[in-house]
Amino acid sequence: MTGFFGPNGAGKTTALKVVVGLARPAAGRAFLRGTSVTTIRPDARLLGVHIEPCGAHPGRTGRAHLRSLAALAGLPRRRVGEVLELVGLEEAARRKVGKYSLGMRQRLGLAAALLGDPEILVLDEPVNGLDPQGIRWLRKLLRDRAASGGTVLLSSHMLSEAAQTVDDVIMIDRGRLVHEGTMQDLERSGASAVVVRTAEAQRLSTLVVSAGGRTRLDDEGGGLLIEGLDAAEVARLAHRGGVLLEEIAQRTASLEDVFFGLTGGADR
Amino acid sequence: MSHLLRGELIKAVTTRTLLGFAVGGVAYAVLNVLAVAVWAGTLDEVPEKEEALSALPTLLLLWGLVGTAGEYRHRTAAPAALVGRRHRGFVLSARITAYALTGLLLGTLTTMVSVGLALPLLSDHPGPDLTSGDVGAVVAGNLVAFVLSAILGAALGALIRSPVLGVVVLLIVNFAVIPLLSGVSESMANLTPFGAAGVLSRMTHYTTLSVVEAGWVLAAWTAAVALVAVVVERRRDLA
Repeated sequence: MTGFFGPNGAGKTTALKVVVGLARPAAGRAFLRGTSVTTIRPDARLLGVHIEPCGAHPGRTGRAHLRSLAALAGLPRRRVGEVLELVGLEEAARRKVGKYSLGMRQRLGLAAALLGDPEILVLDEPVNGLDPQGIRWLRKLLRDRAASGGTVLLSSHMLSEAAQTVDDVIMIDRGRLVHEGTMQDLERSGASAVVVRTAEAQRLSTLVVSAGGRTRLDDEGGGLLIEGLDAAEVARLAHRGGVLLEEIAQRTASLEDVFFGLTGGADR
Repeated sequence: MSHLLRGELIKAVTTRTLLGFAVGGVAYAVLNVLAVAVWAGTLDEVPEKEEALSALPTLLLLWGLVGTAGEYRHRTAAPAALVGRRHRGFVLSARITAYALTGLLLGTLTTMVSVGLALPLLSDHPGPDLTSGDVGAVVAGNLVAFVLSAILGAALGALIRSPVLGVVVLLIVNFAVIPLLSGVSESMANLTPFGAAGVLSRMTHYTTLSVVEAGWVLAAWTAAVALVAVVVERRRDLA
């Protein structure tokens, strides 16, 4: 399961449209299982796609929308009932899509993507509009599909939410790739620092610098922020130098910090 | 291809648009019969009486145009293209065929209303009565005009991709450009799809084009625009 991240306007949806063959790239090519998407035959059994908006006519019922897609895909009609049950939309199936909430439209889009029980799922911002139960349900659904050998590519601008689900990460900004790797790599790539509180900040600072570390005042807490050494090293230095520490803590950059660091998002 | 047609037919009949066009078509048919057979005075020639049975092919042009352009406005074209198991040109061909079939349904309904209402009223007028052959020819012309107009509208809708823009352009062309052109050169106006459809459906008579020739002109326009739409559909991005 791969997460495709980037700030709003980074080009995630456009890139996904290229990946699934709805749009042609200005440069480069997209391949699906080794075959160029421009030559591959669209098939709901191979590729399930949900790109916002859900692509349903507001004057058509949810069931009619799925029936038409099932017919177009050459799928049996019973699949409509199955996916409606899977996404929890059976009761709303006879209502017009125009009367659906954002969360219900998301579920309808997911139902359409799941119609052919595809090998590959491509989902654009699938948690948008879902309530907490819906997000948990979707997370489990996607994890189950990945566990059973399926491939999932999902885009999001909410890194911390999607981080609980994905294995690999692709991050883009303004149409450019800024990171590619596992989620663990991304988490590790966040710079860490040690925050200490002491009445002898000047003495500790001198000791840290002599040991190869860097110090500065912590803007958030008012303590001393130490980079280049871990908490154990700082504690040993303080002990040897006879500096009394009132507080010491390791601070790891959050995923959001990493995200902003890679995309320059905090400066916008 | 049959699964594509089935899917597109489901789409075409599962919104209220079809019902709206059916009501509009029947209302036009009733008004046209009353205007020609009751309010227009005495009809003593066969072409005048045939006009009471004439249909409004522009309505079907709008049906096809609003339907297919709406696919892009509501972004329903993309999901269809992603599941169709054929390239987009085939999917659009199936969509156009679905609009042709529903156009035939609408055309049959409005023509039945026209014929059922007009024939008793026309029998009161002097001059030769319409024979069953005359009525059959008018009905056939109407149905051909309806189906071709629905196909032409669907192809135009796929090219224009905006229902509002398409309808505005269509109405301007039909009610402003064609009458102006007709004033300048009737034979030129008859060679446009609108002019040919008017001749084919008997809205226009005593003109430079025969009914059969009008059928060929409209068919040529329809085939050309549909071909362009299918080719363009394969090359354009889908939102």
